[in-house]
Amino acid sequence: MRAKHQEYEKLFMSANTSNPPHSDPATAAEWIEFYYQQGWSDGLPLVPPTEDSVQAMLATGGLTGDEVLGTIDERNSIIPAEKVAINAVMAGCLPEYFPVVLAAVQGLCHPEFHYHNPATSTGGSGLAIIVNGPIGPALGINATNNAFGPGVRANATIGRALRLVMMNVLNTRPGLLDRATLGTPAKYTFCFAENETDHPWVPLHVERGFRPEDSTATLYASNTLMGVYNQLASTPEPLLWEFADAVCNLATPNVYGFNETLIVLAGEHAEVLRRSGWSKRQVQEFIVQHARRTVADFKRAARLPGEIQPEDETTWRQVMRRPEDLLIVCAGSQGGSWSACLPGWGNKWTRSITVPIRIGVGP
Amino acid sequence: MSRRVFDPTVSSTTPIAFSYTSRPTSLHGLRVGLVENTKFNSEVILRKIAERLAARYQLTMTHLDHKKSSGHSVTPEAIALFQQKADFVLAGVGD
Repeated sequence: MRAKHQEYEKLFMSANTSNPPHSDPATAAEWIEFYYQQGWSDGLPLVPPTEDSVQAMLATGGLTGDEVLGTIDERNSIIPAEKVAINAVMAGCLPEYFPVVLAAVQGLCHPEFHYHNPATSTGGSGLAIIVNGPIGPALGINATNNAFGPGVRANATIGRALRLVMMNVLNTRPGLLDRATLGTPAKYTFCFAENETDHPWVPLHVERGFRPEDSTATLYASNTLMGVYNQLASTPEPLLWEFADAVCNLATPNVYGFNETLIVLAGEHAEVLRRSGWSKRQVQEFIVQHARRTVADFKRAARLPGEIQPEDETTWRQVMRRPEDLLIVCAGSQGGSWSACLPGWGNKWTRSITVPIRIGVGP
Repeated sequence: MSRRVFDPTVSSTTPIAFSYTSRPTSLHGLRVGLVENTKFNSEVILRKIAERLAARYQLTMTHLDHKKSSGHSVTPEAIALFQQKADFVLAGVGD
């Protein structure tokens, strides 16, 4: 915590404005306005690319620019490496962030992610990039205080780069191939690292078969974000009851047993579970077992068709079937009794995808 | 000083070229296929439309394909079947 505070202090309190660039800021502003006029922006200013900045981006990915990184069959679309580099520069990425962007783009193209569904749906998902392994701390990707919030360049620009690729390369633009009813602020950017320090269990990438020293990006299509608050629970059961209630919220789109859900454990909640000695599997099983509603509940809310029958009041339906569909990661600050539940966008065809991050070698 | 503009979009490079098939001049006596996309009421609505078209144009509904999900493409196998069994195909979302 103290180190984090010192990091922020260094960033915000020790600003040095005595040696600004020699060029006129109006020149940059003209270019930014020019790029706005082309319709290439997500609404925020774009960093004007240069030959050098695009090449530097490609170099950290071990790419020349001519490579095709993947295809989206339903869109009849390809993703050229140079276009990803241009969008990453525009998003404000440093070159060293580019391997993370590349891994996320590979996730988009994975057949089991099934891009066209979460990208186009009226449900309007934000695509979360969860970074694991040593690259997170190395790049300064925020995993602690305000992990979902603003203020850290790596988080903000890596997530933004992915969205710009979606908009500019895959035409996932509002009103065109992005048909979200409301959308979500997470569509601007959504990238965070898992906090692997003082973790109750093994982090997500190790759970998925990678080594602790590997770095990975997990792409997860999330419909929304519910804060999970509990200040009194000091043992697992009451805390996990609350998570189960969040998971089976009737407003969640997919309550029919086959979707993924992401839980981000933070602060004191992670500590309660770490102290308890419960395994991650136990936690998953408890939540999945208790995430259920009566058929009458579903019918009252018209989430199931038909009249309510007397037996519906005592007939239960699970909203998840498989404990492994409950993704659990740790992030956020140590203090506070807040965690998060992020129901998956998904139908059963869109799965979260974990991709290794490789530096200096093409995907 | 370079003034190169870097276009971040992909406008024309697509892996598969395609063209639209010609439209029938009349619907009378044709065979219609349906593509249902798994959403609530998709099949119901498509079947209703096919029934009404059948009554009006003496159409025959010859094949109904169930997509894997609303976002999946129609499979090549289903397309081949439609080419054999149908003169035109109706697809719809339903929700």
